[in-house]
This record gives sequence, C-alpha cells and structure tokens, in this order.
Amino acid sequence: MTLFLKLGWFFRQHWRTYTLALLMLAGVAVLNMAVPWLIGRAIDALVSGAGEARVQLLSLLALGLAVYGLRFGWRLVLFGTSYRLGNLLRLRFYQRLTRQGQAFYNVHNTGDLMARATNDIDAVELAAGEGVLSGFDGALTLLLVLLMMLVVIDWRLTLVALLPFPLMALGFYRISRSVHHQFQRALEHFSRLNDRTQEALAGIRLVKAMGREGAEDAAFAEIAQCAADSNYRVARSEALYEPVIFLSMAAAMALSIGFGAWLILQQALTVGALASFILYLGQLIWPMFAFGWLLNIVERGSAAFDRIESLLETPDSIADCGERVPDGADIVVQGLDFSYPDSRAPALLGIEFGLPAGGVLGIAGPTGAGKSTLVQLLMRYWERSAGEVRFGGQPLQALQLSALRQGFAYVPQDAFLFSISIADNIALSRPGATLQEIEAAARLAAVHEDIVALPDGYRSLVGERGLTLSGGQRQRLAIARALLSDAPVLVLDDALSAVDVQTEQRILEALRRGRRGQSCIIISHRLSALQHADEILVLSHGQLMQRGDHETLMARDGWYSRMYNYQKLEATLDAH
Amino acid sequence: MRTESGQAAADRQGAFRLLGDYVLRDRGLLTRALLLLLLATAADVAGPVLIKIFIDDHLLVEHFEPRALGLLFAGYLVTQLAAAWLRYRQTLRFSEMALGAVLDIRKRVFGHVLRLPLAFYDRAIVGQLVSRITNDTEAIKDLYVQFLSVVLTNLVLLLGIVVAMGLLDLQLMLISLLLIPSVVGVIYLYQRLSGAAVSDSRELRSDINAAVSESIGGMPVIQACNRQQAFVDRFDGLNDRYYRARMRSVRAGAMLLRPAIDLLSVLVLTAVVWGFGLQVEAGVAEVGVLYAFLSYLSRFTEPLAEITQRFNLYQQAMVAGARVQQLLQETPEHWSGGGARIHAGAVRFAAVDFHYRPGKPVLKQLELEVPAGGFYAVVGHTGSGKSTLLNLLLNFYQPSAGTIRIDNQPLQAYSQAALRAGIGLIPQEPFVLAASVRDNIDMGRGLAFEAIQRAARQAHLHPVIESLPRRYETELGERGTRLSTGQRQQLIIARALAGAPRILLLDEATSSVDSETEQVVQQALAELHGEVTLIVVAHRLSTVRQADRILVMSHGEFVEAGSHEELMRGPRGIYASMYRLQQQAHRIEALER
Repeated sequence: MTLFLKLGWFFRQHWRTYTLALLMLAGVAVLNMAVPWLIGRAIDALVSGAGEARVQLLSLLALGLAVYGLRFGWRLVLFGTSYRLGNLLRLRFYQRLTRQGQAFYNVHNTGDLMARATNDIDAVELAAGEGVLSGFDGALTLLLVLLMMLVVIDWRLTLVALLPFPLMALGFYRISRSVHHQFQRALEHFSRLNDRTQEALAGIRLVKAMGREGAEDAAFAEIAQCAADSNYRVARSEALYEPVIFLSMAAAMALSIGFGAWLILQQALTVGALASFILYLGQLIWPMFAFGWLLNIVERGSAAFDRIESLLETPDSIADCGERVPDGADIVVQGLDFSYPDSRAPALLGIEFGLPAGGVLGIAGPTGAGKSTLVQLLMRYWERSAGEVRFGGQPLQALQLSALRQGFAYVPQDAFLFSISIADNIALSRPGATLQEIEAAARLAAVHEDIVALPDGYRSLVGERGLTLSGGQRQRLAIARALLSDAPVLVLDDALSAVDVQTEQRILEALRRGRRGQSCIIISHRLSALQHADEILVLSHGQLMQRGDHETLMARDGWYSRMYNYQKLEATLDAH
Repeated sequence: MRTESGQAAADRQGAFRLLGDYVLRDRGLLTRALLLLLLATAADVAGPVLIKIFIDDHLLVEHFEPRALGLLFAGYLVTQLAAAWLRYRQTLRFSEMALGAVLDIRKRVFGHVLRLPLAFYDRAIVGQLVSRITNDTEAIKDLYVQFLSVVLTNLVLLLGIVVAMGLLDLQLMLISLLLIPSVVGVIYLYQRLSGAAVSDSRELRSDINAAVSESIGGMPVIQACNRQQAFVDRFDGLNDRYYRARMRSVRAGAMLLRPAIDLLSVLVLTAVVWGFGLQVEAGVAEVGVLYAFLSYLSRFTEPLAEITQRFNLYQQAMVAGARVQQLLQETPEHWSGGGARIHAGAVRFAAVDFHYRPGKPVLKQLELEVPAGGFYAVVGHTGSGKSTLLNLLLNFYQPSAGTIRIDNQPLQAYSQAALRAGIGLIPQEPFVLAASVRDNIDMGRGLAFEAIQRAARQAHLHPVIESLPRRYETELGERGTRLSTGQRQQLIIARALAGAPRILLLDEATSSVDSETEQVVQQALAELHGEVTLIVVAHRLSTVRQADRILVMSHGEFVEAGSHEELMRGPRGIYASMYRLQQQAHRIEALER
C-alpha cells in the first residue's frame, strides 16, 4: 500500500477527478444495493396479492439506467486519470533520458530501459486505475452488502449464510500464492525455451555440419516438455478457483435456504426478503475477488514504480552548472586522464595537445587506443578523471552544456539516422535550414546524387518503416548533417570507414575548400585521410605514442609509418 | 492487393486447419472432456431446480416430511459437489489437450525449421524465427486453454441454463432468452465502434516503443545537435495521441461492454418479475420458479461477457497460427537416400558456377581436383568465394551449374548421414556446448567411447582431459570448466575427427587465434597429412605453408596455384603480396603490444 503513498502527489493533484470517480462508484454500489431489495418488495407485493408491483418495477428500470450512466462516468474519469499518470511518467522518463550522458547508457542497456518505459509504467497505471477501483469498490460493496443483510434483512440469517466465506477467502489466498510461484517457474521455463531455440538457430551451420538435427530435436523436446509441465501446473492451480467459489456459494445457498425457510416458518422473514438475500449473496463474490486482485496488482505496481523511480531519481551523469559561453574555438588539453567508471585501467593517460581555431588535428592508433573516448571527453559525454580541458579559453565545467555542444559538429562512428525524412535527418543540426542549404551540405558530403535517385528524394523516410540505406550512404548523410551546422569544430570519428577511398578523398577535398575557419578533428583508421592534418596524434593504450605531421611521422620507423606502408600494400593488392 | 488478401485468407484457412486438427487429434480425450463438461453442467443447473422444489413443494405448503427433505438435501449436496469436481476435471482435460497440442506444434515447427536449407537462413532473421517458435505458439496455447475451454464451457452452461429454464417455465425462459440477441447486438456494435480506436492505440503504442528505443540509440546525436527539447516535444505529441486513442476505446467500452450488459440484465430481471406478475394474475405462478430464475439469471450474463472478451484472444491466436503455418509451409532440405559412402575422400569440382543472388556470381566455372589424402589450401580476400567452396561441398547450397563429386560419385548420391560422417568441419568459431567433454566431442552422434578417446588423442587433448576433475564427464561451458582458447580449438578438432571423416574442412579456423593456438592446429594438420583429405580455407598464410598445393582465389576464380615455395618465386603474384602484407601486419602488431 506504500505505492499509494508514493503516488500521493498525483492523487492530490487530481483529487477532484478522483473524488468524482469515487462518488460515482459509491453511487453505483448504493444503487446496486437497491436492486435486490426492490425485487424482493415486488415479489412480496405480487405474492401477497396486494396488487401490482408497477412502482417497484418502474423504479427498477430507472435504477438500471442511473447505474448505467454512473458506470459509464466513473470508467471515463478513473481510467482517464490513470492514463494521464502513465503519460506523465512516460514523459518524465523520456526527459530524464535526454539528460543522461554516456556513463548512464553504459550501465543501463536498451532492453532494460525499454522494459521500464513500457511494462513498468503499465503496471503503475494499472494500480492507479484498476487498483483504486478494486480496492475502493470491493470494500464499499462488501460494506454495503453486509449492512443490507445484517440490518435490513436479518442478522441471524446473515451470520449463518456467511459461514463459508472465510473459507473462500482462505482458498483464494492459497491458490493465488501457488499460482504466483508456479507462474514464475513457467516464465523461467519459457525463457529457457527461448534461449535454447536461439542457440540452435544461431548455430544452424554447426547443427547442419554435424548432422545434429536429431540431437537438437531431443534437447528441444525435453525443454518444451518442461514448459508444458509447468504450464499444466499453473492451469491446475487456476482451475481450483472455480470449485472454491462454486462450493462456497452452494454451501452459502443451502445454509440460507435452510435457515431462511425456518425463519419464514417462524414468520420472521418473508419470501421476498429471502429472494433479496440470495441476490445479495451473489454480490459478495466480487469483493472476495477484488481483494486478491488488488494485492496482486499493487504488489506488481509497487515493484514497477520503484524501478521507475530509481531511474527518475538518477542524477544527470553530466552536471550542467556552468554559466559561461566559449570565446573562440581553440582547444587546449593538459594532463588529461580518464578511466571508465567500471574499470580500473585508465582509458586515457596524460594526454596533452592544443588545437587552435581553424586547425586540423588527426588522431590515429589501433582499435581500443582511446581515440573516440578522447573526442567524447572534449564534448563532455564523459567527465574527465584528472587534468584540464579548455574550450574557447574556458574550462569545460564552466561552460553551459548546450553552449559547449553547440561548439561541435560531431559525426560518431556508427552513423545514426532517425525515422524521419532525409531532409529532417540532415537538418537535425540546424532546424530551420532551407532546402538549398540542406542540398548544399549533401553535395559537400557527396550524397546528393544518391538522395535525388530515391523515389521521394529528400522527403524519403528512413529507418524501420522507411528505406534501408547502405552503410556508406548513412555515413555520408551523417556527415552532411554535421556540415550543415555552423559549429566551429567539426569532429569526424572514423566517419568514413564505409565509404570507398575515392569518395573519401572527394569529401575531404571539399572539406578543405569549404571550411570557413572551422577547426577539424579527424579520427581515421585509413591514414590517407589524415595526410593533410596540421598535427597527427598516434594513441596506443590511452597514451600518446607518436605525434607530428605526416612528413615527420613518415620519416621515423614507428606505428604510423608501418601502418601507412601496410595500407599502401593492401591497396595495391586490392587493385588485383 | 487482391493476391495479398487472398494469401492472407489462405493463411487463415491454413491456420484454422492446423489448429482444428489438433482438437480432433485425440478423440478419446476430447470425448472424455466433453462428457465431463455435459455432466458438470447438468449437475450445476440441477441445483436451483432442487431449491425450487423445496420452496414450492415443501416450504410454501408447509409440508415437512423428514425423508423427502433429507433426500432433497442429499441430492443438493451430491449435485453441487459433483458439479464442482466434474468442472475441475473437465478444465484439466482441456488444459491437457491444449498443452499437448502446443507441445506438439512446437516440436514440429522447431524440427521443421532446423531442416530448412541454409539459403532460407540467409534471408531469415533469427530473432524472428525464435519468436515464431516460442511466442506465437504461446499465443496458440492461449487459444486452446482460454478460448476453447472458456467459450465451450460457457456455451454449454448457457445452453444448460436455457434448457433448465425451459423445463421450469417456458414463458419466463423466453423472456430471459431476449438477453442473448441483445448482448450479441451490443458486442457487434462494440466491435464496430472500437475497432479503429483499438488498432490505433496498439499502433501508437508500438510507435512510442520505437521512439524510446530509437532515442536511446541516437542519444549522442540528439545531444550533439542540442535537439533534446524538440525530441521531448515530439514524444509528448505521440504520448498525447496515444492517450486520446485509448480514451476513445475506453469510451466505447464503457458505453457498450460491462455497463451495457449489466443494464440489459437488470432490464431482463425486471421483465421476468413482470412476467411473474402476469402469472400471479392468471393464478399459475410458482414462487420457487422465480427463485430458480433469479439464481440462473445472476449467472446468465457472466458466460456471455466471458465469451465476448475471449474473441480478442481468438483473433491474436489466429494471426499467430497463420504465421506458424507459413513457416511450416517452407520447403525443407531435400536429401536423397542413396546408399553411397565416402571411402577415400577424393574431391572434384567440375565447371562449378554459383551465385547467392542472380547476376552476382560468386564462383565462376571453378575446377578443382583434390586427391584422396591431399592437403589443399585456399587463400584469398574476404568475399573472394573461398568459404562458399566449403558450403557447396557440405551441400549447404547447390551449384547453379557444374558438378561436385566425392570419390567419383556426385554429391546427390550421398545421404545426409553419409556426407556428415565422411566430412568433418572445423568452423571459425569454436563453439562449446554447456555439456560434458564427452558430449561436446560426441555432439549427439552416439559414437563409441573409444572413438571419442582416439579423437581426443589425435587432437592432443587426451592428457588435458585426464587431468580434469571428472575426466570425460567434466562439464564445460558457462557454468562448468573453462578451457583456454587453444584447448577449445583442440576440442573442436577432436569433435571433427571423432566421426573418423575421410575429408576434413577448416573454415578460417585460425583467423582470430593467437599464434600458440595456431601452432596447435598446424601440428594436428601435419599429423593428419596423408591420412585424411584436408581442405583448408585460411586467412593466415602461416597455417597453410605446408600444404601440397595452395590455390589463390580472387572474384570466384583460382588465379594462382602451387606450393608455398613455387608461389613465393613470382614476386609480383598475389600470394607473394599477401605474404608481404602479413609480414607488415606482424611488424605493426609488435608495436601495439
């Protein structure tokens, strides 16, 4: 029940709608109480021969209509409000996501975040809607029915007839417990089945090469049998609900008819009152169910809410408390150290360099040397461990995060495109850019012809429901996006790896000509892309191994010259 | 468009047949379940009848003969207990039927998918296939367990109630019967009104999921472009549309589902009491009948509501069933049952052409002759077609032209078992099962223990295994003993050798291992040289130095051939360049340590 306390802010905020919904629910419960009573009165009126029961029957009709209206109303209000809660949580969750840096995304994988944004929010929504409904309505119905039975009809009859009900409640409780456990087990078996199937199909070549089809069949059959067995156990437990309700109701019925008959003989009860009593009895099943259901969804909702809350309360991984804006675009890095949060080995150690505005910096080195980490630190995707980075004369922490990010046009390794049109994808870096500007950027990135050849040109949708583009096309689109922005520093993080050498040279050439005093940081595995850089840093295991321009580096026997020769050899081999 | 909908209809029909067949599969079980259902319903509806007899024949006429009363009470007790027990048994029978059917469908689909040709897997997405085999069959389970059992049970119950009502009082029954068409009408109206809203909200829901997952993936880009607020706004818009679509469906539901059905039942209740009033006037009324009707009517709406709520499940299960059916319709691999066996292991490719996609040839008029016991190596670029060569030899794919022969017999003459027994494959990824060492070498082939030990000796793994805590029974894999990379490679070699193959294929088995592991492989190859035909596809040239003949492949053709020394003599050749390139790579690696 702490869930309702934690959601207190929402209930307080919407107390009017909740009160309205609860009033309508109460109205339904009260009016419903009148139905059996009216029928009882009608029967008595008819049986006693005192004439017609027109009044009772007409009130019954009116009652039915009123109940219908109230039921319609509370559903709209209560469920609507709970959906609002879901919407609110989803939006907050999304807002949190946009404020988190890479340290956060390294810890939380996408599947887990998705599960929280969908299933967990659903569970909270359910608790705030159906949970409130079953808790309130169940309790109210129970109270009213008992009141009617005890006060209006006959308290002795009530006590006798209710004897089986504690047994029903006990039965519900025990069944729901075992169903819960068995259901968990069934879920486990199901995920084993998934894993097994995944493994077999992922290794299909091996299966076929070894002729293992039969062995795989047998292994699958065994797990599928386990899954079926555990499902059967769930079904067996669930099947117990009905006999428990049925037997309790039959016993209550027998008790009330038997004892009621005796009371009628004693002239202490009328036939109509007994009929009403029996109708009330039927109304007691719902509260019994409601409480079990309530416990269940509140338990789930509360676990889900804790998970959501823990994410909503995770502080920004990058604190945005700077107030200044950069003056110019020169970069100075001094004694920069960095280790990833979950690792002790430093990813970068003692890095020093400077890049004056308008300069070109190349970064090379083997995979895992820390090249991408270095440029991401410049943009504060991570928080450095030691040393200082200054951008436009200011330490990074002193800058507004948005002002810092505006300083860079960044093309990451894997070109990411959103499921929007190509034009919008390019214009992401500068909303409001004209089509001419977008086209100019696409031409610079050597992707204009590709786009024009598409059926809808710049309006073509990309992504899941749209076009599938090749890796090279995606990379060039991402570059066009960066070129459109007028950020003073352009960062290409191995952004041309899927583009052929000729196109790469064309793009780099266009960049050299088109840069209006823009600085440029190029990370590339292909060293030919770095040839014209003012300075090239060669990183290895997070440290600076070599530095200098192309000529200086080639003059020495080191990683750079060896790799350059390797790539030249490779190119001649490719020409074969 | 028309053919598409025709296809969909055919799929639905196929699904219907697939699922229907299973219902009738075990007729004995079905009969028993139905019998239990009928008995349970009969016992169930007998209860109110007995109460009616008590009220009309005893209570109201004050006729209290102990024997008759006792009989009545005993009758009530017995029918109610029996109804509860029978209903329970019947539910279990239906569950058994359902789970049995799903188990069988699962096994069938899994077995079928495993036997689909590799070409199928080139197009298929493994995640999707897995979901077909597990999730879709789970949806079918819901159809059987929920729909079949609940709908059937409730239909029969409804029928039982109607019959019992009819026996008690025809007029009042007819009044109550009005409920059925009106509920059906309301449900129909609901489906019409809510259909669009429900599918809208389902679609928007998946849009929301897609937006979250896309934003998580593209967050660095969003942040780099400072577009956070724009994306939050976009998401908010989506969220809002989702809310409105859901409110539309809640409104339809609130108007027509539970509240409407409850209203109808109040109306019918009123009508029944009114009818009773008429009977009182006519002097033919029995109060007990009214009691029975009240108790029946309170249970009348429940089955109707249940049935309508299950229709959703039915639709989902049919969609899932259609997808499963589609998968079952894929043509499995074709294997001839020829009795040929591989004796010597001579391999011959004659004018073999092959393409994965038309217009993009992978192998062109390929000629290759490997004598039994020969050691041949194929080297070349990624994408030059060298692995395809092995795929064809394993009959994973069939050449588009030309023939492949083993021991002078065409590949088609061999059965699957003969081919798998005659050819051993050492793949690029050393895959270790979470099972014992013995099972890992045996791989479900049921080999003799001697053969397993011999293979382990040949791969120099036997001493290592003997030093393990439980020797050949030691568990490997994630939760068991971890082998070193070299030992894993040895295990894979032992696995391939255990079947005593005449031909051994290595598919880039050394491309991503350290030089120590490579030496293990080289040593094993040297020892097998001459005994078994070796065809080695390699990226690392050091692995193939000792080969009898090295073939250099480029764009689907052999462009150079000869021993290592012969090939190195032509300095301008591809092989020599590749060799130099690898030398250079070693020089770079030396600096990267």
